[in-house]
Amino acid sequence: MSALGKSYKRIEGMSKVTGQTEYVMNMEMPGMLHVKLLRSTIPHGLIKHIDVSAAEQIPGVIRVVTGEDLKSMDINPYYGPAFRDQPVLAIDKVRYVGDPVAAVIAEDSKIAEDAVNYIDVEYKELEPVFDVLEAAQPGAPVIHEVIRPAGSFADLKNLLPKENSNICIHYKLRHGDMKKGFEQADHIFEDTFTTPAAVHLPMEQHVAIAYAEPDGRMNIWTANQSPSFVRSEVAHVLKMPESRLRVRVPYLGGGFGTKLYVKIEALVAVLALIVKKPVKLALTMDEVFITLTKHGTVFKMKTGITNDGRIIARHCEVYWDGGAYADIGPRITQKSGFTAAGPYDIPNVHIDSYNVYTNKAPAGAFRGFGVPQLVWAYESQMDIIAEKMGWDPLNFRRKQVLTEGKIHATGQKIVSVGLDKIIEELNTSIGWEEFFKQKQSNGIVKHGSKIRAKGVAIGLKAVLTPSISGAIVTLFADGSASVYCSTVDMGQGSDTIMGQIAAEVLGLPREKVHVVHPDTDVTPYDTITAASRSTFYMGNAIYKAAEEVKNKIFESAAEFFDVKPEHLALQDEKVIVVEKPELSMTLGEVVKEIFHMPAGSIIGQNVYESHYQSPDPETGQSEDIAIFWFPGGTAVEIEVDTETGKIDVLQLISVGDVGKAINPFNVHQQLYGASIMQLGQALFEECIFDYGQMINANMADYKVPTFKDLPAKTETIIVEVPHPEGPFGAKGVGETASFAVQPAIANALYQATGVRVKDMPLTPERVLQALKQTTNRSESTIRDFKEKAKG
Amino acid sequence: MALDFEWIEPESLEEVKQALSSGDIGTRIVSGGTALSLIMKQGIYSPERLVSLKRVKQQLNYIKADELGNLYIGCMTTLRDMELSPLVQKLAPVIIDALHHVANPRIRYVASIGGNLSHGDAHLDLPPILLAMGAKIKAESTTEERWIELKDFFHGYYETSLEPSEILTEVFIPKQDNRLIGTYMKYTTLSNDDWPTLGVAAFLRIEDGIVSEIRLVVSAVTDVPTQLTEVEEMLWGKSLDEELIEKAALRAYDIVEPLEDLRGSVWYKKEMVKVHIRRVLNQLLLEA
Ligand SMILES: Cc1cc2nc3c(=O)[nH]c(=O)nc-3n(C[C@H](O)[C@H](O)[C@H](O)COP(=O)(O)OP(=O)(O)OC[C@H]3O[C@@H](n4cnc5c(N)ncnc54)[C@H](O)[C@@H]3O)c2cc1C
Repeated sequence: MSALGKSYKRIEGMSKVTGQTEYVMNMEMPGMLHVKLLRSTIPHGLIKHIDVSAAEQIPGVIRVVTGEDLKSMDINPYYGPAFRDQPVLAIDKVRYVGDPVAAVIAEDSKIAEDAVNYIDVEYKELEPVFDVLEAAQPGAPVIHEVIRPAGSFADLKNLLPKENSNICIHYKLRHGDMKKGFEQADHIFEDTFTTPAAVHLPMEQHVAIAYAEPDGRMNIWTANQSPSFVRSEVAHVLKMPESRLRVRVPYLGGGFGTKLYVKIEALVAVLALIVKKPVKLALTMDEVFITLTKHGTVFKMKTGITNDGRIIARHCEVYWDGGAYADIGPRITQKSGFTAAGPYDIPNVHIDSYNVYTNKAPAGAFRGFGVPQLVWAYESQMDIIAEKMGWDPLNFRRKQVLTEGKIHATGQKIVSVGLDKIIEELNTSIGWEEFFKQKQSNGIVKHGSKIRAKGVAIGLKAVLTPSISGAIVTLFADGSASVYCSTVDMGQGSDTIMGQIAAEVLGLPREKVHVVHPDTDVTPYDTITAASRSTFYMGNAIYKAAEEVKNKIFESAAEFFDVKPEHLALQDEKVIVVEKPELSMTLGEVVKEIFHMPAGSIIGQNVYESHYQSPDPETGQSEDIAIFWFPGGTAVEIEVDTETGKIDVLQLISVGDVGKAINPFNVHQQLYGASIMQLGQALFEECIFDYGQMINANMADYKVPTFKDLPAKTETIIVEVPHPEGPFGAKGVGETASFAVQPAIANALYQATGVRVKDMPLTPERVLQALKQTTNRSESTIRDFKEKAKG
Repeated sequence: MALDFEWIEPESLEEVKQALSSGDIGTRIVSGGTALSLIMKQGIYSPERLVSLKRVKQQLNYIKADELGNLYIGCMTTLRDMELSPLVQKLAPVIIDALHHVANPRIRYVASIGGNLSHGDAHLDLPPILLAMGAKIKAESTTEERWIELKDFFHGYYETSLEPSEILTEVFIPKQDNRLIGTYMKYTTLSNDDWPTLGVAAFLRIEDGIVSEIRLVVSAVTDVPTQLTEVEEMLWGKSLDEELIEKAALRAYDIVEPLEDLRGSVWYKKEMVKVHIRRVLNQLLLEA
């Protein structure tokens, strides 16, 4: 009967595989017009003049809109979740190759696409800056002259930008006494690790339709992960009350972070107001590349250790390459920034995390929200230290890993974080101990040009806090129910799980619960669908809303049976008296009892809100910075070809502590998907720029893992350390398996060859180059397989 | 992408040739469309008229062999048809092995051999193999019919000896000596189903311990598939051993002049040529 812990199949599975599912991409409206964008061809410059006359004369073209038109409208033309720095269309200035400069509205998309070529733009080029470290220097060309804090989110209130600098955020964490810590250290390690920009590539591109009703009320259908934010931010742009804006989101063909906050929605809404007709903008895949990327990073890490194997001090300096617009970079800089020292009990920690503008495509959320970039650094360095000191890297981690009740560098006490369990799972599943012993005594065995070795890494993320999720649960007169929530099902299976939670509380079979898709006229506010937060936050809201329904049912039934509500239970779609199960009534009968007719609805609602203590702006300290923390770990076995530098991942094992797996199959899928996505990031995915232009911005030149890249063996392991505040103990899982893949592979490479690569990705060329630079270094531990056979 | 192009579907080969007869570069054939659609999307080519071979597919889709063992493959034969063909398996097994690693089944089900060769892209897997096998193609127009050796066919990126008025109708693969053993090595640096960063096709015959025939072709690193005649000459008439193989690999490293692109630098591609020439020869030596 219980819906909990059951691997229900995706409720939308059949409709998706038979092509019935509704996506914005397929939606049409009568009289709908289509939009195509002209984008900047230069990385940084002033717009001197735009001539749209030739384009507007093309038959079928309705209107060409530019930044000049926005100036004459009564709107707020800038938007953004942290800073309102991004214009609906470029106003006077362009900041990256790809910055939208003009929008052609035409009867069909082909006409619009053609007309784009007839717009003439004259620029005055400004000196651009592409490198994140150069851009952070005083005297670098300034990309944003003014920065307007948005004030939309409580956690971003305290982050104030630096004027006249490309550093839009500097987040600080100070814990313990750095100076003393390094004085006490017996050894100090200093390394710099980098990661490049990369992209999300959901199967469905960004797409939105906007339509203003005759009285001006705005409707937007969009493929977006944050409908509530789209409503409030576009309302701000249009200077409309939120109630005059309706945002609807059907299923998404993947998001991974690129569809968060406002992307194209403000633009389509403004265009719909101008032409007073429905307008649709569907980006091409090539445009998706330059709409949002993952932050490239430079992470300078200095660590002091003592001879007894303890990390005593750690200094972290992280530069996030934010590209032309801040997007959610400031939150990443802070919220991921504060985890930069790793999931370890370190008495003295000092973190400086900078979000820096450059003249490249804007960067924002990407599954893992910055954490994989940080884990890449700290988990690589863990192995560097262990190797140098002659320690088993797994033991070195065991010695300081954060366990229950320990204090994190932020000052928060750690609760429900099964890191120690994860380490043990990694150890046994990959056979670490045996591998390491074998290596210590016999060295590594080489088969021809190929060497196999293993590697492990762990990571920890704090969930987005504070945030809010609202839900309504309605029980209908026939005993079926609906859940109203703004969580977007973007392929992660949230519809399935959210319905499962309500079904569990109400004692209903899963099939009797419908989950209503986000519609801001109907479904309550929800911060975002991201950050592995929905099962926890929205799950809690639904749980509590369903409890309210249950309580109302019990209240009425208690009166009917003349017992106390505590004596009742919901079972098999009936209310029963626990002591006397022969006394029961169906849910329909309860409704009839309440409303005196077989109609009406029983409604429960809840707005689940996290507790939170804003960190001190100077020290980053807070006793309550995240409502839950969720750890993940990866173990791999690789085979590296020392003549080509190519790495083949033979085994990929992902372990995640999810608190409670409400739908185990979904959890395995999330762990699996995140790890495979990271495999590409680790081995070959990277945006390549030439003078600010992304030159591999297409799927022929930017490759993602395919079936042929899957490891011979993959395994996903669930650890359950229940969270006291989670629904049924659950935490999040969407990003868990993304954290540690990159360093696990690099650590295995190190075990195999003694070569340490500190820059992502581990392309064959980069690995071969490193191997050639380090020739002979590790020969003592690598023995030829043939020799062994002979001897 | 250009807006207005004409799309025609001739009913006979004669009509196809007619459609091409103006010799206008704005007119092109579409067979599987897998390569053409990419270059159209990237804005490299904007057609005025596309001539689909859909309705003449029956006639141009065949794999035949004569009694000598020569293979004749119609231009509309898909890569998948070739991959599953017992005739190709028997007469040119190297092709079958290579096809397993071309793109993915979805592409192989529609991509044609005619399109694969006419596209003139150096990053394809079949051209080096066919070149090494001494294949030739038949080009037909309303006025002429001619055979072109594959070694003379590729001129540069997307450039071949085909005239705009010509259609490639057939590929001829001569019977290979039974004592010849061959292989193709595909090497990718991005995902494993990517276009090759380097392709090496090699055929070798050893008689009485002496190399009596050798053909080595590299592709993808250079703008056209390149037969390494200099390296071949080093090996002819010699006894192939580890030392000679190493010399050959180093020679290949010296003479191949790769182009740098997103899949590798000049340095790296030269290294890969060296490594794979060595591997290919070692493998063939082992099998010989
Ligand atoms: C995602 C993807 C991955 C790929 N990966 C690989 C790979 O790993 N290895 C590999 O080798 N290939 C790969 N390919 C390329 C694929 O093999 C070629 O696209 C295909 O062979 C071209 O055949 P087609 O029939 O689709 O040609 P089309 O696209 O129809 O035509 C290609 C060109 O040839 C011309 N043409 C076609 N037929 C004729 C004819 N009979 N006479 C004269 N001209 C003609 C067309 O006008 C056009 O210019 C890949 C392609 C894609 C899309």
